[in-house]
Amino acid sequence: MDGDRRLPADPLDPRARLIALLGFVVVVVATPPRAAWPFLAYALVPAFFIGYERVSPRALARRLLFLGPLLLTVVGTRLLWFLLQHDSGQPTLQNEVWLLAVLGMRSGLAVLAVAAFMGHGDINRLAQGLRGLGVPAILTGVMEQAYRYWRLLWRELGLLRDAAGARGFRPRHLGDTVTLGRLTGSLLLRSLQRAERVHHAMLGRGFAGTFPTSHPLRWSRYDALFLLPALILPAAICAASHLVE
Amino acid sequence: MHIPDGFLTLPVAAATGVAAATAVGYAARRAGREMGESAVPVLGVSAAFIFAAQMLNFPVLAGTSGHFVGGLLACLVVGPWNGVVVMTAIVLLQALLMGDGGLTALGANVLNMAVVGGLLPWLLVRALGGSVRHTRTSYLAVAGVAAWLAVVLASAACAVELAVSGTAPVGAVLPAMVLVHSVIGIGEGLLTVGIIGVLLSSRPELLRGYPPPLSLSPSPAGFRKRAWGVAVTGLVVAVLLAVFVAPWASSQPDGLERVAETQAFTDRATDQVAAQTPLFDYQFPLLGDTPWSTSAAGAMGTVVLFGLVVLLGRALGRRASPDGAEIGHDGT
Repeated sequence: MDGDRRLPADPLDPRARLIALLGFVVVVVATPPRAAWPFLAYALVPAFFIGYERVSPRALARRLLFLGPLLLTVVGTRLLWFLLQHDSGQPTLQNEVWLLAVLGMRSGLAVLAVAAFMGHGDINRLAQGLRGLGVPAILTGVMEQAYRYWRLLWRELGLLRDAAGARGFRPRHLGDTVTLGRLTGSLLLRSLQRAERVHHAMLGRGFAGTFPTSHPLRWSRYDALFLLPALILPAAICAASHLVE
Repeated sequence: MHIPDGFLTLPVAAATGVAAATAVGYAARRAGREMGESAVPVLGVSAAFIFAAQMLNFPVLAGTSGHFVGGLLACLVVGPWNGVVVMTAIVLLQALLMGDGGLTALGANVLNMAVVGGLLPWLLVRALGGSVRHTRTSYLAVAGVAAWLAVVLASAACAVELAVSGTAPVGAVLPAMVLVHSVIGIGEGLLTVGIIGVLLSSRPELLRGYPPPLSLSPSPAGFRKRAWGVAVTGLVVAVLLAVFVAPWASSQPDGLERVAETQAFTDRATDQVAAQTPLFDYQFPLLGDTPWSTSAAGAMGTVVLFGLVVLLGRALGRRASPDGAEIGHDGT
């Protein structure tokens, strides 16, 4: 069997996944905040793919948690502003709550779409797709390397902190941050030494700046079947929401 | 600091996207030219480090914590253009695989964390660092202050983008973001100082974007040369102050004289011994009671004092090193 004709484990072209994700998010953000029904309809699309890809609820919850800090900041500042401006009678509480709900729906839908359309995160295919869409190779190469090593470094940082904890170090206030910095600095030293070793090993294996991929990019009928619900359906909902108003 | 999707309007997202794409495109070209694409592993592992360090929370106030951003650190360690590439790769990875930061807000996030929070403070470090980073302390202080500024600037940029999009009123979100990140920035600055301090002690050559000055190199000769440079500069400044500023000193009585006047014991002071000294009452004998006389007396006093301090320092230095060998800054 010809290696080029083998199907990868993921039959979808990574460019299709990226286009679907970007398209879905743009459509959601472009939908006017007049009614809730378009947003509820959009939710069906990622919900279907999340079910199909069997993304765990825990992974979903972890992603949704990232929204917390900035969402809370915006809610806090808007409500504070509302209280300060209330006497002038400009905004109403109902408007404020609705605008905040729209923010939450839009950002939540985008996070669901990432979980739905990016699958289980094959970094090599993702980088290949990005290169196929014109992203500079140096950027995707750094991405791939970063993804491969960050867990390892995070574990090592955990070990360093455990070792410091065994010696009685417990960071309690801001002043302890310099010590934390020194710990992290020693990890950076190790990381850079590791980088040099990795670099030499890769050069020894013939690395010349690009990562080889076993499956070339090729559009197929699977991509069309994927893009139809992932992109065309939300676009239709968006158009309908404009027409209804 | 990561802006999710839906928080920015499409025009703001497009404008920040174009600005970020231009900056990153240029940085990628420069990075490729400077290090070559075969250096991707070095940048990749550096990016992995920043990525892991971003998960490091540090205590800020009671019950709250902040996390590391690392835009400036990336520029200091791997150089400014490589730093922008590294930070962009991290932001892209977080947006596409973790859902941390939006896709339509990708341009804004890259602009905030890689350009405003990385390249811009690095330029400041380069502009200011050359003139003040002669000692380890001042070198680290420049890095720490710039890291603090990086976080504050990035948060201000984030607030402005949110305000322009109508997501939050500028009068509330800008002070709130800047205030909170001013505190978080202290943690960023301290972490940066800790990390750079370790590199400075062990492998200073790894600081490609912020090379340590000669005085921090292990050469005692370089240190002595720099120390004399600082001393002579200080002497020149002191003499200039004595010549041009001293004549304008206030003629009003100082604290002790005022007390003496109010307690009526001024007349008990005697100048019999002091009047025999050559520069009595800050007057140079040959120039009489004129402003230039005060200038000349001040300059002469400054030079004599400098000479005495140098002689005393050399005498104490020899005593500390019985065999007569001079001691370098690193104790060797």
